[in-house]
Amino acid sequence: MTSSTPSLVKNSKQSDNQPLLHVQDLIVEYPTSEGNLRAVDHVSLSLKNGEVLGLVGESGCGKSTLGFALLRLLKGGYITDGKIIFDGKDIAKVSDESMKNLRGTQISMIFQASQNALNPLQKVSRHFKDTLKAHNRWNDESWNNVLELLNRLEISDSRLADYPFQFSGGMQQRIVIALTLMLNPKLIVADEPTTALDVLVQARLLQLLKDLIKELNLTVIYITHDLGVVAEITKRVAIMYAGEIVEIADTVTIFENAAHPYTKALINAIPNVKDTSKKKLAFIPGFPPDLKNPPTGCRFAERCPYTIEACRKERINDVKIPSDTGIEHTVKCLMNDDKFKHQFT
Amino acid sequence: MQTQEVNVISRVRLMIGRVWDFIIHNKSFTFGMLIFISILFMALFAETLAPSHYAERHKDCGEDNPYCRYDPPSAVHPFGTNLLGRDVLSRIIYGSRTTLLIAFSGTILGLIIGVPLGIISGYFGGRIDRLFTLIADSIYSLPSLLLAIALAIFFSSSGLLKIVAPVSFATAVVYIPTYFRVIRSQVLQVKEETFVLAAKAMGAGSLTILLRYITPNVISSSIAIIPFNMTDAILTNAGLAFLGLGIAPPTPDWGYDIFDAKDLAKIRLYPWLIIFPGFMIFLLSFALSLIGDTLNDKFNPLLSKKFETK
Repeated sequence: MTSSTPSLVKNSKQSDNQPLLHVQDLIVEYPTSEGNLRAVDHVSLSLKNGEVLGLVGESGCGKSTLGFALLRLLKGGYITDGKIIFDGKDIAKVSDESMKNLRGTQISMIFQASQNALNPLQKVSRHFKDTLKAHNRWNDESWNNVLELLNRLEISDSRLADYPFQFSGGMQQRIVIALTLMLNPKLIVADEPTTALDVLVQARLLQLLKDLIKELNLTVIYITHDLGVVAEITKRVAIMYAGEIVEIADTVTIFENAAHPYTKALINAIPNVKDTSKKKLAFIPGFPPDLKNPPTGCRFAERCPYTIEACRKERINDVKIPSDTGIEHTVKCLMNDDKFKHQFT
Repeated sequence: MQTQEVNVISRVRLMIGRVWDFIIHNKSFTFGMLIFISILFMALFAETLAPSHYAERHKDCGEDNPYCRYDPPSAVHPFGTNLLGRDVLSRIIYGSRTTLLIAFSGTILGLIIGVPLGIISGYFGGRIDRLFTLIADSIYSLPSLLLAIALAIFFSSSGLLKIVAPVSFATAVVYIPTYFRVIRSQVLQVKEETFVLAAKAMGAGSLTILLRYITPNVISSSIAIIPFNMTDAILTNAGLAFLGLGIAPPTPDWGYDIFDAKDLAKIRLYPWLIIFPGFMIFLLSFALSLIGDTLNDKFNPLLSKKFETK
């Protein structure tokens, strides 16, 4: 199944340490009648070429907003501050026209509901042709590449004259992935691409994605709330809570050695089939804070069992935790801060 | 080769079967369509079908009527004749041309102005949208016949395109807001669809999105309005003609013929002058309404009566 496909253009492996994407103190706000809602608050993260980062959080934590902000496709929201350095350029500031040219060729997005990501009145082939034409790459060679990519994604050429509704959900998602990959973008933002699919199709698609990531050396930000998928596909995970990244580390550390109480609670909330004790499924009591008026201190303080007074006082800074994997482990929690450590019992 | 032939035959059979199914399940639509097509046929082949020219003044309808004035229906003039000795049947057959021309031109004019405005307004939003909506709403708030009368007077007195145009313009102006509103509300929905966002994420520009993604997905909702628009155009034309603001004689027009025969004394003495053109106006609007109802059920299924009972 993992036969090598040499003519599919592989992204060059950059050996330098310059990150492909560097987000610095990004703030995204949605204006509402009750004031601005800060969906993404001072988020910073870096992504190297060929890296797969999972972006995990519950609904409304701002993970999708962050993804859309990277393509500047926010609906009703605005990037009010911060930098998005992509390939050496701050794309938070480039003109709409040059951003349009970046989309598809440099940064692409895979959407959640694939069955809605294809124009119902256009044949599937039309989607590919139009995209090539829009980027002035319409020639035999690139068309052959598209056919090969589709082949790799197990969509036969003979189906190209069909309309999207004639395909199953899994096939539609694979077509969307082919569309996303066809112009060899450097960065792919995948917003819960498997959520709408059943478990078997999801597993197959994940395997396919995993293979493609390896083959084409793709750089992916994988947005999801499904920790199982994260374990399957990512090397590094960022946990988001109420607009902030609360913990970022390599996937193994997140699962086995999480430092933030929220991350721990998330991991504990995964049902374990092997667990025979009649323990009830763990959950986190309470609700996330109102992002129109967030608390000054730790945003998880209201729901955290370890909260001390200092937690509510001021903004929590990122704390670096030494790790032996070589991948940085950062956490937004005083429990790991040397100054406050002793106050927790 | 043989299998291919079989394929073609079975395909044709399938097609016929589908058409038959459609007819069975949409009897009123088929009935309306039959009437409409007959009238269309009548208009296209008026020269062949009409017993005489619409302006020909007949003579010798018996000893007491040498100029065929108000000759009652007979074998020679099945629908009778009018004051000038013109054959009513011929005038009706030729008159279908005027009526259909007005119906079509008014509708097409309304469509080609209303639909693009709705698409632009809905997609770009903001100030353009507010301005267009304001204009559409102000046109909408006026009684349509009154507006048509005013426009007809305006267009005809300014000497613009004397015959058909005033009425077409008038009905078009009245219907532009309807197309505008329906299309605009559709655009507002479609532009939020994931496939539009996905197209943007692949680097598609505004023009591509408008032409390829928005327009094909909203255009169908305007189809259901067309028959109603045509009905209204026909009735408006009849209404305008009845008030003496319509087509000028001798151009044959059903509305004008009714206007010509509207005196009480004439109605009593020569009823054929008003019955036949009146019936034709009724027949055509009835057919269009039947077509329109079915189209409405197809394109706006939520408004369909079938859902109401459930």
